[in-house]
Amino acid sequence: MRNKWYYITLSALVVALFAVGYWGFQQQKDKNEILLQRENSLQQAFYELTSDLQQLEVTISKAMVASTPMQRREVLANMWRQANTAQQNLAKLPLSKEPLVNTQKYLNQLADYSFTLLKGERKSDSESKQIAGLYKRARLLTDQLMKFEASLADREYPWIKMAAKEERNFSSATRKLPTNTFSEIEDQMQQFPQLVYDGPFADENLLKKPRQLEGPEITEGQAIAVAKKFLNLQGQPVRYKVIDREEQIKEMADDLQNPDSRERLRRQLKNGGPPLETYLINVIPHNREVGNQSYISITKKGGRVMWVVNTRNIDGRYFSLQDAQAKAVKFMDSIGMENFKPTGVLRTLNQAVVSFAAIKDNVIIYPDLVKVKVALDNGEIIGYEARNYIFANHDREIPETKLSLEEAQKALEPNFKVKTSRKAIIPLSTGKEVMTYEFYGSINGLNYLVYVNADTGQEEKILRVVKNEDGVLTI
Amino acid sequence: MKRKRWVVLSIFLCVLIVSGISYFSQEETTETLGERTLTIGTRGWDVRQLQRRLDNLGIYPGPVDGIYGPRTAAAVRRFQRSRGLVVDGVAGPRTISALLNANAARPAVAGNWSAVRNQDDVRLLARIIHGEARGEPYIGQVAIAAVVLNRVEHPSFPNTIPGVIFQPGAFSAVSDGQIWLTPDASAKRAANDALNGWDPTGGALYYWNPATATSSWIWSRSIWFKIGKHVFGR
Repeated sequence: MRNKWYYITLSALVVALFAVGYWGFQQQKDKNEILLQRENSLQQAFYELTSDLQQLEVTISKAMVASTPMQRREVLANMWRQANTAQQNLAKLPLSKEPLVNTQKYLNQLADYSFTLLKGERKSDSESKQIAGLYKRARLLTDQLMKFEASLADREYPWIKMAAKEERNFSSATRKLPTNTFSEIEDQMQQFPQLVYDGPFADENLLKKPRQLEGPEITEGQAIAVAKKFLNLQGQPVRYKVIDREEQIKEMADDLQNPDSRERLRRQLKNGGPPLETYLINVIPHNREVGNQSYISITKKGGRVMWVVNTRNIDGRYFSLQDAQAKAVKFMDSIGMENFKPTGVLRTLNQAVVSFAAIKDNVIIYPDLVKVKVALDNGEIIGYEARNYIFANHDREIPETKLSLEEAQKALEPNFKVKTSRKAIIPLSTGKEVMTYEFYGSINGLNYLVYVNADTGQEEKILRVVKNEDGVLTI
Repeated sequence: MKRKRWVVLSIFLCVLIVSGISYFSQEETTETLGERTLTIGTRGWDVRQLQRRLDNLGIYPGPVDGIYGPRTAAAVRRFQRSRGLVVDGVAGPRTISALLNANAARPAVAGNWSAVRNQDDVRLLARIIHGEARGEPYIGQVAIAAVVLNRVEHPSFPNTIPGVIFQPGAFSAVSDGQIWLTPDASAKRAANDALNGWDPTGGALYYWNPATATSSWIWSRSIWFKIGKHVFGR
């Protein structure tokens, strides 16, 4: 009898063992398949990157010699396209634990620079010299990449191993992988002089500073007074908490468990602060729930309100966009910004965002952009955003225009039917401003805003205007 | 057997005819909204219009069927409360005219120089906010999305929102799959605020949690603000 049970148990165990073994084998197979697919797509990105960079090296070398307009345009267009795809492929690869900020920047600026040059008719003076510098970097990058490629040649699944290292910090097994090639490239890329040109990605356009922010430094007490007046909270049962950024970070450091991290965080404060110092004030109502707080950010210099965020929930939508716009206009008047006109309103979820631009001498000044957010449940103002305005605003002289409205209109496509027109100052992607004529009209049933330079008669910008139930979008 | 089948078939036909009669006998009136006072039990084209308008306002969860039921009355009551009207759940001339005004004309057109609002971008931003900063203060959530958008505008990073978010190793919520949790209302709202230009970080490109950060490189950045668990800098 005992023997019988023995055999039954044994065969059950054997069957179970086979079942588990088979299951494990299938799992392993599935996992390997997924890893292989990941490896393949990373390999694809890498091979595309090397091919992009090799082509780019050749194209830049041609840009050094191209001289007549047609060939120059062709070479620059290729440079723009190849640098762009190289940048996209580079960003897909897990090459280093740190982001490859310098290499990425080189490729993005190269694309942006080529695009900027494409807009000019003739070769500029600095162009030859700068392209020679860009070529040196392209050579360096391709040389290093070839070395890197060679080092990968007889490794099994190098990319998924690198991905694992970069994502989970694997140590022993992957330590010998040659990813530090890229730390080297990063260092070398940083040692080249800055590329000087006028595009949105140019270094001098990156860290924006206010053009003209005037007034004395204000104290915390004065900042609270500004908040009280701005939010119309006189006599309201609210508490104001000024959040000091350095104090907060020091407190955070004190709370850290690890003494090294604590020290490093304190030291890090000495690396410098934000480009524009502000007071952040938390406005807490005494008698309402915690979620219903506001934050207001006020510049230390001049005491200007940068932004306001009210964090309360909004349920329901009882106000139309028209009502919201009227509320926003009333609010702008109440804070003394009567010279601003609403330029559009857009609904998202249960809130409406109304955009305003300044008006001076009948010219609309789009760089002075302010946004006011209205809750659609009770019509309350729950947000304000004036960063663009504070950074762009300065004492502007409205310039005389060389062209009249009729002359500028000649630049337009003949079939474009103009409905309204006016003078407008618009911001360019480089942060500069330009005086234009704004034409609103339509062609083939689609609506547009076309901006024509009031001096040169060139079209500076075209925006598609799309109306839907959520408001008006300009694309 | 044959007999049974006939019985079943004839019962089925009877039911069909009766229900057809009762369906078509519910004739809908054709008044337009505002011609009469609407209350529970009223049926008609104008009730349909009322329901559609309440639906547009986002306060009517029921079907647009032309039948003034309790859900329609509840929505009307909510609307009346918001507008300071008498809250009785009956759509009289005052309520209807307020409702017609609420859905009135659109504001004038002009260039407002805002970024394109692509619904995919909003969704993806909401996901990264939810994955990275669930339970953080609201402005901390807006700040996460602002960092993504600041990266899009900076040459050291990819130039699209998906490019920035899926860059290998850039966000831990992408590496560990938390980005695929369903974002809550707060994350969606924060994503919209960031796309509309609100940036509590003043232009930051990085954020990290000093309690858990492992990269030595991150300590070389300048540090601007602390919001919730994260510090923001460049």
